[in-house]
Amino acid sequence: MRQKLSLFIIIFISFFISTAINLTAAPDKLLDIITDEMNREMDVLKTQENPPYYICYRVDDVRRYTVSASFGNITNSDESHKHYFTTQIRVGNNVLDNTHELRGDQLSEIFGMLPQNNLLPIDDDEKAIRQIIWNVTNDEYRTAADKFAKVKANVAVKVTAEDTSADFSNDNGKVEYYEEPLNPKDYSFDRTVWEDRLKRYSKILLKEKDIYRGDATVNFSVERKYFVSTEGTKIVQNRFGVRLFVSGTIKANDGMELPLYLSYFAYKPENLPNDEQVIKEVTELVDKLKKMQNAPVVDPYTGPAILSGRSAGVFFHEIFGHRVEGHRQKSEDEGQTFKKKVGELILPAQMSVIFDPSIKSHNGVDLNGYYMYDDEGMKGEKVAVIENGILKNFLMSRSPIDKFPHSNGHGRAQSGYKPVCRQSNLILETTNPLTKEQLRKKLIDECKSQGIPFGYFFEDITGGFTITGRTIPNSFNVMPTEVYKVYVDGRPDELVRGVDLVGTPLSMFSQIAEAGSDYEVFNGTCGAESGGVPVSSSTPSIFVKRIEVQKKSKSQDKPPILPRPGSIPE
Amino acid sequence: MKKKIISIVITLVLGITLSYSQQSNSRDIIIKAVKDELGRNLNNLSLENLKKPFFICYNIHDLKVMSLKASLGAIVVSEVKPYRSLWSRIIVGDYKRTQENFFDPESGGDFVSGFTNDELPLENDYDGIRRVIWKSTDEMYKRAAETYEKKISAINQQKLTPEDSALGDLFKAPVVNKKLSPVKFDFNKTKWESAAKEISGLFGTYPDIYKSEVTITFIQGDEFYINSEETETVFPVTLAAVQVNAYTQAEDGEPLFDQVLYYEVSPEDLPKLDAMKSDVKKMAENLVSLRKAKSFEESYTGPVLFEDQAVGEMLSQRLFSENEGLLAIRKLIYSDPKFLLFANQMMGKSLDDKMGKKILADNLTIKSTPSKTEFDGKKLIGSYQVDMEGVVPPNELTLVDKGSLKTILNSRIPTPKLDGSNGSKRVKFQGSSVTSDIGAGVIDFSFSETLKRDELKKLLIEKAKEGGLDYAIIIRKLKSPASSIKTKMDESSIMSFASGFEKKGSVSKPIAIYKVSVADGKEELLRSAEIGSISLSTLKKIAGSSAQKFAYNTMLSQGGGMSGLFSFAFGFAGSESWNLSGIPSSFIVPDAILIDEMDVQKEKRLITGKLPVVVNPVGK
Repeated sequence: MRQKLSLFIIIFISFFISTAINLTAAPDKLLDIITDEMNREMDVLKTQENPPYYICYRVDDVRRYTVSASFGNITNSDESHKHYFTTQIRVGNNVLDNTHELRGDQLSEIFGMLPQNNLLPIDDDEKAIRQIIWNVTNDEYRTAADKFAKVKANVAVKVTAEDTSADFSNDNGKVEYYEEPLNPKDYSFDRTVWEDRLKRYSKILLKEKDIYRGDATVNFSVERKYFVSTEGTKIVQNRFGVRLFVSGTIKANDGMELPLYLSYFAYKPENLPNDEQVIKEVTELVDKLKKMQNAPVVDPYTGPAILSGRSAGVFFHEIFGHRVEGHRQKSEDEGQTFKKKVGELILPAQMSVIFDPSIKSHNGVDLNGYYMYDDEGMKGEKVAVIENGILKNFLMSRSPIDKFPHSNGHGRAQSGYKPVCRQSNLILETTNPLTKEQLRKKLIDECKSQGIPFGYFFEDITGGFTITGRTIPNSFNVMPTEVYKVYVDGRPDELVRGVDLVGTPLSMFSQIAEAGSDYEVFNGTCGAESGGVPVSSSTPSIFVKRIEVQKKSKSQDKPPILPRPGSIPE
Repeated sequence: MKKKIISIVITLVLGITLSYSQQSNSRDIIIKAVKDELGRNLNNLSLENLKKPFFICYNIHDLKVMSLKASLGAIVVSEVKPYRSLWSRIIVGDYKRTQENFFDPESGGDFVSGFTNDELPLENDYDGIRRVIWKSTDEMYKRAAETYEKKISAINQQKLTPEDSALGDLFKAPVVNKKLSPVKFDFNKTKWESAAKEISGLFGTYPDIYKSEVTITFIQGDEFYINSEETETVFPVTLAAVQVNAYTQAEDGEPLFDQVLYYEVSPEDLPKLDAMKSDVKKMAENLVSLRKAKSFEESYTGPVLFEDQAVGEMLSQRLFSENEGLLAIRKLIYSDPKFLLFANQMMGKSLDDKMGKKILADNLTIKSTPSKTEFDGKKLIGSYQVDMEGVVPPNELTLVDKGSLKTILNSRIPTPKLDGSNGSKRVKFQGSSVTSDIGAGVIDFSFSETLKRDELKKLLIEKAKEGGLDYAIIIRKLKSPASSIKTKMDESSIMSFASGFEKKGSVSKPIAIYKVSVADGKEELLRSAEIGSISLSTLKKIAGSSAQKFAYNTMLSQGGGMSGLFSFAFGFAGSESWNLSGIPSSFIVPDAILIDEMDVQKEKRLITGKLPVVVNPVGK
């Protein structure tokens, strides 16, 4: 009996202790420290002459593992763990505050976009964390108060702005969302295994003697993102992402650099494609590079084309996605391409464009643009920007525009940057998907009706850029890497090189005619004024009646003079 | 038992031999790869109608770097990373005329290319290393051959002075074959993380200090240099730095800084933890008292006594900067006259034209003694046997003899009045990479007549009295520009520093400056004082110096000139850069010198930030 009792006591005590540990461990210490410090700062700052009406803190706890190899040799293999701290302070009131555009003062706007560069301790040490936050808050408050005075003067001397919306939306800012702390196995990453894999992948690029750059990189990042605001929001969410990138570059005899790459994304390393698949695709890439080296250069062209799913993804991201980012409809320096087109048919009626940060995968492929809450603490919402061809909505952060007073959870930023509207997971849907053969037939028919002997098929694309401002022509440029001429007379398709896909958005958009059913995902990082943010596009192939290609600007340097040293592997 | 001991001994011996042979094996592979690729490129690189390369050299920086940062007892950054990179220099033309020493806005002349390092494989793979060299050489050669033609064309359109015309572009240098033994030490990250926590934790009891950080940086590795003249050198690069920086504001908003910096050859040369803690405590106390110190509101012209750190810092900043310092500066040829204005701002001023003339005090002799490894038991971080161009510097080089300028430190780039390199191209850390620049190694300052330190103070007071002054000035510590804590206000200072607008001859702000009453010798700590620019003629008026000398190890950032521009660029490199920047240098200086007359005035600040309205969470 005695024995039983003591056992019971032990069990009881240990249960009690473990419950107590759970209770005390459940709240996140870092979350408590930053919330408490923010409230302490606000309590004092709100008594100042120009008080802040809103403060938010973001802490990104980032573990990053990187391994890089070049032609079979490791050039980098490291890991880092950092806590990035970012704050935003708003002085004034939500109608007019320090974030208001200083019209005619571009230098201030540029300086205002420079990132903060603050690191907090990686240990949850309260005193050290608080002191750094306190210093940064003081600096940012001073900057905000100073900028607010300038804003008031600027508003007083300038004509009334076209868009008179408030500077900060009245959204329900009080959100509480908490994901469990990371477990060490969540961020376990065996660099030795990856060193071996990358060496093998990049070594394959040695097989072609003229490839002069052959790299492979894997980058695994695990983030625990904290967001707290004086509106009462407390969010802690985790984010995973691993990207494997293999690239090779060859030079044509005319000096043109021809890069091809393979890019894979997954949330966890184990979900990346297996060795066999990567090796197979790298081997195909090597063959393709050799073919491209000898491919003919094309002349400028306008005419019909098919863009593969991946190419269409980049194309939509650049020419459309950036132009439906809400804040660009507000700035007096922006082109505002689609601002007055709400309610109008801008794509064929069977097509819709959706941005949805809440989905994790599309057709079984992990999507890089997934998140629960954006960097302003707003829930990432599914937004049908184009429904049945009609423009309905914009991507919104908490910076309202005329008729769109609320955020839909697209205020995003890299650590250190202030959030603006950014894209998430773009999905192009069609109610009338065509097969590959049907799309090809459409292309050939269109070529014939335009009296053109060939059209183009854009198989792959490396990325692109777009200019959305007013001061220089509002254009885009996407950089295809693999392009074929499709002849109307039945000749086999011909690989060509040296083209960039260019144009102005509205004229190009009006030419999009059909979409296929063969979805492909392009996972990437989009860079803009709020830094690099993870995004994706899931799009089928599209058929465009008229595109424009221009000659790619090329390196004028000749190919390497001497042969690459070292033997060619079997 | 006996068996066990023997086996341990054998293991140890084996271990040591193995690690030594791995090290030498690594060196052998690198050297062989570099030499083979160098030979292949030198013999075969050519482009139609363009000059072939006549000189090729490679620097390989093969290092391991540990960076720790801690604040108030908590670790902020803790990393150990390997760093292996290649710097190639491909020269077209001949010794008389090359593509270098030329500025062209389109290609950047030889400047832009001169600042890029290529990543090398971390493994000792012969073919892998050659591939990187091959690609880098190909790109650099094409650029060099084209730049050469541009330069010749620019020269043909300009009327050069006979002196400029006669000046060659590359000094010849003797062939050197020198391979120094590697130096190895254990980083012991755990031990130093705990030291960083302990030291930084000291600030936790000082609510009057707003910001503080401790950074620990260890660097260890090899520097290779191989050129087409058959020079082959390898030398170890090691450094152990502990930098403690703190910041606060005085009641009137004046930003106040203080620092404790230790730069040593290896971790075992660093002071014991308790000694560092005691220094840091003293620094914290000083910073707190500085807040309450009287603001200097006057303008003072009179005798100034420099003591301790301030002597080393003042002499090194003033005499080894690119603004009228003892460093050679080559005048460039410009492709476009529009850039002359830019050049005037950016390029420092050389002392070439003062060669043989009296520039400093009669009793002052300055010698470069780079082979000296120790002074008074202190190891010298500036000591080196061969420079970054494979040139062996003379053991002793007199720069200034009894006040007369004899020579200046230079590299293989010719300047008037010098006829060869004196091996002063030094290793330099910047951002998170390794580069090289003309700079000091070990510099010995000696005065022919000396006094005891207390006699100097007496002399200071006498001189002040003679000048009819109520007080004299003593400066004991200057801010070291190579290490400081970043504040919001720094953004503007980085800008002015980089744009070359910093006053010529200025030195950094005093941290410990005192008013000494001529009546009773009582000292009063001051703040808000800055030293006026120190002209060479000010340094002619050195009234006395102490007989006691000490070695001052520092990271020399030349200040002004082109290096300023690059410091500016790296200033924005942010959290990824190493905490160290500059050239490791050592100055053997008297522990006190008295300057007869100089200006000290109230600091002119463009902006003064208000005090934080919220109370410091430390000690709240």
